[in-house]
Amino acid sequence: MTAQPASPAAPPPPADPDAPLLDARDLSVSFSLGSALVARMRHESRVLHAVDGVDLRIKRGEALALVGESGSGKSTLARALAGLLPPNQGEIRLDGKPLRGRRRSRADQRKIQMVFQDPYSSLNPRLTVGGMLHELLRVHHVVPRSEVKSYSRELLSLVGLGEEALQAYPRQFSGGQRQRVAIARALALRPELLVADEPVSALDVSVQATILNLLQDLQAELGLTLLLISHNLAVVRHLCDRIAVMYLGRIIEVAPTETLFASPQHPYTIGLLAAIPRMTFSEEGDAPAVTGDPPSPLNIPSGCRFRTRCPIAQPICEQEDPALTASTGDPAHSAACHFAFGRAGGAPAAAPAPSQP
Amino acid sequence: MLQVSDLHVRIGSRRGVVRAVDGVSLEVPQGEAVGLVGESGSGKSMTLKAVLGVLPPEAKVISGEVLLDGRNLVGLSHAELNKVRGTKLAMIFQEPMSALNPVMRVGRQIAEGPQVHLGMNRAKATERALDLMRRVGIPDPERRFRAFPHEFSGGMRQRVMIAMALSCEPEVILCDEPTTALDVTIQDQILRLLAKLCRESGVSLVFVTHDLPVVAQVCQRLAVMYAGQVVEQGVVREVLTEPRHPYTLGLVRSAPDVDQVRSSLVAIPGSPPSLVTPPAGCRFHPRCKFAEEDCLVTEPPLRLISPGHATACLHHERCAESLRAERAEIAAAKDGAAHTETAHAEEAER
Repeated sequence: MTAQPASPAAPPPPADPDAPLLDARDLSVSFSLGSALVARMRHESRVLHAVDGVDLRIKRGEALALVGESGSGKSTLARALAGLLPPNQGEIRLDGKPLRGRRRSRADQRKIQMVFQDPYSSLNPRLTVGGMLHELLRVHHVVPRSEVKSYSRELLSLVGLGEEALQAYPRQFSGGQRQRVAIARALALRPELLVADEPVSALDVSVQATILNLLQDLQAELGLTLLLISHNLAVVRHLCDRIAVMYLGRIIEVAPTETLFASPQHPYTIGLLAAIPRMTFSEEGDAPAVTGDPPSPLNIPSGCRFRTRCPIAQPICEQEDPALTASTGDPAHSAACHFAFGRAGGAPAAAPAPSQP
Repeated sequence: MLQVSDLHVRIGSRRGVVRAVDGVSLEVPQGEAVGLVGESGSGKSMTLKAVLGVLPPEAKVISGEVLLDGRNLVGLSHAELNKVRGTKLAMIFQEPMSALNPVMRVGRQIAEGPQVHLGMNRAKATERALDLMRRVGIPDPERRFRAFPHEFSGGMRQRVMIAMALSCEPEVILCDEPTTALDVTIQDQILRLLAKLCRESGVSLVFVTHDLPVVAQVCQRLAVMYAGQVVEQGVVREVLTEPRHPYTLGLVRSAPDVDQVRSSLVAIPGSPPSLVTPPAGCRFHPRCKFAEEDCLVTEPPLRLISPGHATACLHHERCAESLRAERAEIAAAKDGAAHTETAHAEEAER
């Protein structure tokens, strides 16, 4: 890697082009909270399963989106992948090589880098941009000492900032520029996977566009692999090749972007897509797309996690937890619903049956 | 009916006087929802605060009127304003957790307004609160009446805020980004509830947000604010599909649209101007690609260009041209794609 010239270029091609870059299996992250006594009195478990047995594969060069509501575990999953949170269970492999859950080696840390939501709190206010990049490049030995300066300049121009930014402190930048600095910082280590956790939701609409365009350009130019976490499906549709939908700590549907928008299978995905505010002006009436609130992650429903809000829930949904299985017709499209792809007789998906009381 | 005319709000700061709201006029007819859209710092929240009389101490209304049923609210005493707030004006805030009293039962908070403002006794106010909770879709109101705000989810708290706002049958409800803190499915529930209330009870809404699709869902009319001024105003459908101000056009083009995937988004270059020393002439001219020399000197007034559609742009026909060109391009691209497809099909047949 160090033999490469000082340009943040694409990582070397893999031996097997079909092997996923990142392969996470049966990954679980849980937190134990509060006192055991209170938990027993409330009949709730003390352990919050933020991510509960997730399998995720990311292909080299693709942009994968992780969408879901707050509390669905999407950020926790991203942090676990980036090595910022130790998983309780499961395995993460990068290029076939297992990554440790905690205390990753410096070389492994380098390979997955993150861009955070809030560009105001994720940059050190007391370091200039140049100082920040310099420290990073020195610690990780990315380029020889003599090339640090020119490499930093190159990084900044890559994200659309001028050379003068090297001497500036984060407070001297606007929100959009700070996010550019954060992206430059993440790219400085030539990561194989860039994880962006809600990179534009703290920014104004007109600035969001510039950051989204930048991510898109970088992906095309550098062949970057991107994991984008967002609750905004418009952003996701614009930027990503594939979408994974999360609900209460599980991935409940995965599909290529256009497939997901054209024929969503899981009732939650269907509701989520219908709930997006649109620029079109159809009169739709007062019935919301998904009723009710998500259940507490401390008190996850038995069987299918979505059954409490599901319009087509049947007795089987209470007893059996549906696994995430691929469609027989389209192996790229998987959903965790008893009735997806016309399974189980295919009755409810087409004609919604009344939900169980 | 609420009418704001030529409102000016200035804020004293160390860097100088900030012209936060600079000549804003707005009309909110009865039973209609008016969206107020702009980026942070455009003055939309300040306008709302001035209407409600809750400006921060360093901000002051310099001139202009806020007329509610013909009565000017600017300059009213605290006691007089208190009578108007609650009975005629109500507000829904962005973050319901910080707007609700954490140590008071939810039902009593909803009942407090009718008790204080309408002189209802406790039993009657309780009945009304239960009725309101039912109307805003809080399940099991008898039990939930005695709950505290922390026991509610974000969406349910926002329903409590809406019930409180409705409790004294106000004429106008001011909403400051009421769904920004909520998840998509919950946002959808709350927006539908607000639209329904607006339609059924004849209450007017002023809806401040930065999210254009949200406005399209709820509002009939729309005012776009930039640098303390209203730059475009009109019927929602018309303003969003046929924008006639370059800033509105920029907003519409820069927001990713779920239904229309573009190859790349068009960002508005530059950043919003300082409100201490705003640019001369049109305030948008440094970021505007249609700007001519006259834009640098003439401050464009908000002019009607068609019934119910006003813009503050001297060269608004440029927006129309640009939109026409864009649409022609899209149509051509689609045509081209269709042609190649049929060509391929024909080839395959052969």
